[in-house]
Amino acid sequence: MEETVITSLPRRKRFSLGSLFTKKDIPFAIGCPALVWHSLFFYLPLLIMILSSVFDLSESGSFQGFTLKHFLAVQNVAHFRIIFKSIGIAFLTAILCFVIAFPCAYFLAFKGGRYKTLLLFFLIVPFWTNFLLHVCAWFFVLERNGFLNNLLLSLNLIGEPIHFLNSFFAIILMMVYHYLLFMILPIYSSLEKFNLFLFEASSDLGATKLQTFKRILLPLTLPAIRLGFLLVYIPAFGEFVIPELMGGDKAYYAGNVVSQYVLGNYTAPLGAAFTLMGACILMVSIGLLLWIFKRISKSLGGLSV
Amino acid sequence: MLYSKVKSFSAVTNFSIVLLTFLFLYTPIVVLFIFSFNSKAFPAPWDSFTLYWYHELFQSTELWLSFKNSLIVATLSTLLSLTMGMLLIFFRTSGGNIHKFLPMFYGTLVIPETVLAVSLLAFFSLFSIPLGLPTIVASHTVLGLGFVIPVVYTRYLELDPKLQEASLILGASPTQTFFRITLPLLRPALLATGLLIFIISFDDFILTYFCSGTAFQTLSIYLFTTIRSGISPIVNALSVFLLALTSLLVMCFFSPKIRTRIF
Amino acid sequence: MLQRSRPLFSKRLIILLAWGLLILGTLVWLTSLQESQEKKALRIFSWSDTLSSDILKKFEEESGIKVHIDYYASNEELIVKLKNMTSQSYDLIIPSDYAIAMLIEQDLLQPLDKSQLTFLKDINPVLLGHDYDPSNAYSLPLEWDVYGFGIDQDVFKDSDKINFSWDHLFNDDVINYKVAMTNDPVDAIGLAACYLFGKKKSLSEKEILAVKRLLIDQKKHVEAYAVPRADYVLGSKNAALALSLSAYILRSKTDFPFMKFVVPKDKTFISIENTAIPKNSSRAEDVYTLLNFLYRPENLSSTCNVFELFPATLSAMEFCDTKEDALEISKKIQEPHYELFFSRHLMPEKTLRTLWVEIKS
Repeated sequence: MEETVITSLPRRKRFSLGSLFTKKDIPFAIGCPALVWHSLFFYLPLLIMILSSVFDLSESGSFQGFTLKHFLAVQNVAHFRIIFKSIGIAFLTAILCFVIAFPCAYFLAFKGGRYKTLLLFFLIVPFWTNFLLHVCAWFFVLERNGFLNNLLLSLNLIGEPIHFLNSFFAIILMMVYHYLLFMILPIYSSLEKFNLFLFEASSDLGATKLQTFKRILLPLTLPAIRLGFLLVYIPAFGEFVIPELMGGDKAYYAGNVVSQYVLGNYTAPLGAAFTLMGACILMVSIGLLLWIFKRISKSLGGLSV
Repeated sequence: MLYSKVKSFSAVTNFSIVLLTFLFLYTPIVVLFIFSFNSKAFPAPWDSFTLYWYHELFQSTELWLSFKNSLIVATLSTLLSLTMGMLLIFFRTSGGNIHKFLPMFYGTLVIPETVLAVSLLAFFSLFSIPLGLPTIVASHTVLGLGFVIPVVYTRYLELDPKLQEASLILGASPTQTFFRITLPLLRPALLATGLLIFIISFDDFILTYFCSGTAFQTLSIYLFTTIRSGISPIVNALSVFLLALTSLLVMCFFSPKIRTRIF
Repeated sequence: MLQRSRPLFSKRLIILLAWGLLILGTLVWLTSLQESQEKKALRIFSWSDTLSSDILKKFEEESGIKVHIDYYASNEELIVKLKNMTSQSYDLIIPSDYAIAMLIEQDLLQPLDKSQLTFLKDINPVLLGHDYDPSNAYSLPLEWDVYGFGIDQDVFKDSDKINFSWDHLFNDDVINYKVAMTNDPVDAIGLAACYLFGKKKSLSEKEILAVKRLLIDQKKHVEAYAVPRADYVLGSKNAALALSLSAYILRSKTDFPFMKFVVPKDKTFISIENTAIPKNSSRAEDVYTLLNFLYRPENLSSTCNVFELFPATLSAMEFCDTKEDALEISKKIQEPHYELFFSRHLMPEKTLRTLWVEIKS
């Protein structure tokens, strides 16, 4: 009988860590904690929350299985109304922030001159203080016998104190105050890097100031505006402290609902389901916004990014 | 003629908007400052000048405990975020490719903080991790990473690659290149981002509110509970103190002397 | 080259998993480190506005027993935590009234050895013997306050002559001023239900709708929903009538002379904070020492003065700032036909919170 020598099968290497990891892997081993951290504490929790929205918890909190009933419970006129109110207020805040931030950033970048950094510093200083202290501060100003009312009364502009607090006005005011910097900074840094020669070139070629503004400045700063817009819009959607403290807790927005459900007992899956629904609607609205920005940049002609 | 009128009109409106903005930003702070010297608690009107509340401020142990807690959390989160960011850059200098991982870190900007807080709460309760200092630091670090990685990596890409190439050609190992070339070049960005993360962590409220449980109090939580139950002028005194402190720090940071040494 | 990418991927995966375990492990280890530090002390679990840390420090100095206090935000949290803590339990807890009933039902409390306690005769009889613990075998009242109205005397002139009732809060015909309401859904819905239907254990669908209607109708009069800030809202004259616990109004009375606290006629909600010992605690002796210390007139009254609550013992009431109000209210609620209610869950939590969200939207 012929000896069949088995030579075609490769010899299996013994499993040892030494041969598995080479020196080349060391940089990755060193560099990856950031990835791990983020996956562990950002993506994994998100996944768990998404999963928890289908958990079924009994009255005393024990796990009973999977269910879609939370999603059904969340489909509620009141809930939808709140979500759309939140979108509305977030959008309004972003628009107002833009209206105020753009002239400021423009002034700082182009007319600031030597005092540019100083002015920027003074603009940022109020934001160094804790946000809740800002709320406190505005109470002082807006109260019935607060600063603003006293001022208006002493100037004889009004006969009786105006009721500012615990109203929609107070909420919007505080929102804009809180998020203004997020709109100013991106626009400012974009305007600062702006090549002034483009202005010259444009006016040399015969464009009026308005045309220059529309076809050169705006398209080039549009990415920064878009970034600022999103930096304000997204957090403002989930805001709940401002409506509670400045609005007298009279109106509920998305964030309030989430905190009600999540901090309650065993209503957490409901909170998760509501958050998911709200997040989906938010994503859709963001997609809409980005599309609007695209259309704007196209319609301006000019340079598009 | 009309053109110059329009020009000056827009200049005037521009200037006035800026002026109004500064007024808008500073009025509450100034009012807060003034009323920190009022002898009666708000909403009583101005009574008489007193330094009583500042005295009370420095007596309140609970407040300073929460202040200390906030400092600890902010410092730890900043250090962790910066370190992990630097390690990632190290990986890049040693020839790794992290470009496809980068979008992962933009997540924190896209998700409202409330959603993140809720998810972390679910995560911690699933693994039965009791809430406290370590959990808060972990959550703030997530926020920090969301800033460090995008900013520092973008700055890294803007660096002149020839410097690193030259160092490698001249015989330095990637480790040496990292510590002697890359890191010093990135120092301004790291410091600026570090400062930013520190402030964000110190002032953070929503994430801390959900993830700190009841045993561990940071300054934001303490202020929130105080405001919820009425405003004491101690809060005024505190805000004036904090404002002075941070302005001083930032001024030092931006002063020409220190700037030339760091930058 | 394709051959290389496969092992590379799994290598990287192993590295990532290793890091993940390391980080998670460190986190768990750190948090358990925190917990073990607190083992040696006597552990108290309480509401945040109930025990003052100064008194506890005094106790530590006097008796040599170290005390550690944790705070809970809701009675439900207390119950869940007690159920899950089999090893190191809390030694003393301070639950609210209806929570005691739930704790007794779930067999989480140990009966109190009354022979060890020196202050029993001193306790205000109106606080004893309620439904949640009829013979007070497991709990003893510590502090109490009542729900009532803080009123602006500049708006309600001759307030002594007006007989305040719940109509002043809920009835459209009576209200022509701004009110401050509570932002706690359990209390708000409980009060509305009590106003409409009196004492009830749970509500039917129709009744829930009626409650909803009432609260939505009330919205137009409401200035703010903020019980802990009720005195602020009243003091700044933003509302003329504020629903509030007595403690919050009485603490600001000195600053605002036009403020007054009144108890509505016929019925109101009372809130009693009780002391109880969990079943799993092995340090009952030390707890009795602590209790005897806490209930001493000077200690109890100074604790109550910090938070403007009423003390449970009559002798402590003598030392309190709020003595007159306490005596007056105590007298009023002991009148015949006066009904005292405890805040309780009239419906499952989910329905309650959804209802509240609907009202607020």
